[in-house]
Amino acid sequence: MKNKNNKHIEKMIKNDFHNHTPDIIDSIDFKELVPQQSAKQSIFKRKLPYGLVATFTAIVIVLMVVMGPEAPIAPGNGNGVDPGTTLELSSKQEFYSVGAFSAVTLLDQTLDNNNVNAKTPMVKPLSNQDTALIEDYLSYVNGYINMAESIIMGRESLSFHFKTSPLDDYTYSVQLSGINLNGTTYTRTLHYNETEVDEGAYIIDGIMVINNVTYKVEGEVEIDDDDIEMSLIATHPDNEDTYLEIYQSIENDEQTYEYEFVRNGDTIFESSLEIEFEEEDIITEITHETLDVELELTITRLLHQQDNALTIEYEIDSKTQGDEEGIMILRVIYDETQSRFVYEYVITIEDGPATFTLYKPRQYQETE
Amino acid sequence: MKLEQYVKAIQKNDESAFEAVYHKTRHAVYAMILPIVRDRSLAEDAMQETYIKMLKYIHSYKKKYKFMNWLLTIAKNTALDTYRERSKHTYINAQDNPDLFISKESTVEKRMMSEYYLSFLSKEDQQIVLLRVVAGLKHRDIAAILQMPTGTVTYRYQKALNTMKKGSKEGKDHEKQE
Repeated sequence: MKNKNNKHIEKMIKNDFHNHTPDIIDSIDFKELVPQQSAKQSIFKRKLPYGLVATFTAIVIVLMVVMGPEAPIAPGNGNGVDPGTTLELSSKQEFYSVGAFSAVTLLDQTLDNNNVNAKTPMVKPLSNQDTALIEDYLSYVNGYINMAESIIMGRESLSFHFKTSPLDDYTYSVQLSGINLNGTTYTRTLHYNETEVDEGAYIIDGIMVINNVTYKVEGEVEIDDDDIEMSLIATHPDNEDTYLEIYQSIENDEQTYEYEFVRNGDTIFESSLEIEFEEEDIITEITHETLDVELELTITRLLHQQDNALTIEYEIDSKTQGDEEGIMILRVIYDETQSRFVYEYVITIEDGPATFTLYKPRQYQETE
Repeated sequence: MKLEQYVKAIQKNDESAFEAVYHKTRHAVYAMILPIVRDRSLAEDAMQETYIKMLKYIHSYKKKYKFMNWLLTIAKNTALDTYRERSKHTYINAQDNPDLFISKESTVEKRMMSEYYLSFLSKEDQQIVLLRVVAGLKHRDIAAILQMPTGTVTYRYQKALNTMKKGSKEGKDHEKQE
C-alpha cells in the first residue's frame, strides 16, 4: 500500500507532465499519411472459443443485474463457494443475446424511472467519520461488491430459446431466461438482424424490451484466432444521445469489460472491470470514473482459504472531497436479528481514524 | 469510445478519430520518449515522428495487441533512433544545456519539479514510473513494452517511489545544512 508521500510524488509528476507535453498535432498531415485503402480484416481461422466467452459474458450479465440498487435481498445459506461453474454457449446467437442483455439491463438500471436522468452515485472519502456519509458511500461500494461476488464465485445458469422473430422488422429472435436476485425467473428476448460483413465479423441490430421500454441494440462482433471482441450500444428510445456502450475483450486468460454511460451526449461515467486468474488468487480490479471522482477497487480472493474473506483495497481520488486509501476485509455472515446473510465490512482507512465495522445487504441469490 | 475503436475509424480514414487518439495518448507518448532522448526539443521531434509512423502503419496494426502498447513501442523505438542519431553528431553536455532532462547537476528551480524527483532514478526506472503515473498503464502493460517480467516492474516501481521520496528528503536536509 502506498503512503501519502508517494501519492503526492505520483500526482506531482503526473500533473507536471500533463502541463508540459507539447502539442504537435498541427504538424501532422493526416490525409497525406493515411493510405487510402480498406482496413485489414481479421480472419476467422477456427471455431469460436464460446465456452470461455460464455463464462465471462454470463458473469457480466449477473453483474448488470446485481447493480440495480433496489434489487431485493434474497435469503441463502452463505456457506462455501463453488468457483468455476461455467456456462457453455454453443452459438454466436447466444453470445449476442447475453451481450445485448448486459447493455440494456445496465442502461435500464442506470436511468431513473426509465427517463434520461441518470442516478449519479456519490463517492466520497470516509475519513471525516460522518456516519451518514460512510453509509452512503458503502451502499455504493456494496453494489460493486455484490457484483464482484458474482464474478468471483460464479454460480449462474441461463437458458436460451431460438426462433424466427414474430416482428416484421427482424429476422431472428433469441430468448434468454435466468434466475433473478429475488429468486424469480426472468425472460428477455432479443429480436435482431445479423449481417456478416467479413469472415468472422458480424454486425447486429435489434431491440430488447425491459420494463416496458424498447431499447435499440447495435453491435459488432469480431472473432480472431485467439481472441474475441464485442462492442454493443444500447440506446434509449426517446433520446439517441443517451446510451450505454459496452466493450468486451477476451484474450487468452485476460478478460476486460469496459462501460461508458452517455447522457445527452455527455459521458457521465466510465467503468472498467478486469479479472485475472492466478494460481493462488483471483484478482478483480474495478474502476469507476466520473468528472469529479475516480474510484478504484482491487478485490482479492485468496483461493484455498477457509472463511472466503475478500480483501478490498480501495482508493478514492476526488477533486472536491480529497483523496483516500484504505482496506476493507469483507466476509459473509449470518445476521440472526434479521434472519439473513449480510456482508460484514471491517474498514481501515490509511492514516485515518480507528478501524470500524459496518454491515450491508447481500443481494446474492444462493443456490442450495 | 475506446482506443481500439478509434483505430478502426482511423483505418477508415476518419481524421477526427486520429485527433481523439492523439489527445488520449500524447501524454503517454511524451512520457515514453523524454527519458530516452533526455531533451525536450528532441522529444518533441520524436513525438511528431511517432505519430507519423503510427499513421503510416495504421493498417498493419493487429488488434490482438493493445493499441497503446503498440503505439508506445513505436515511440520507444523512435526515441532510441532519435537519441542515437543525435549522439552521432553532437556531444551532449548536461551542464551546457539547461533544457536537458533529468540530471542532478542543475538546480531544482530551473526544471520541472518532476525532473528533480526523477533524477534520482535510472533511465529504465524513470520509464517505469512515467508509464505508470503519466500514461496510467498497468504493470503488465509496462512489462510488455519494456520487455521485462511483470513482477520486476511492480517491484521496481515501488522501489522507485521510495527512492524519490528518500532522495528529495535528503536534498532538503542538505539545503537546510547549507
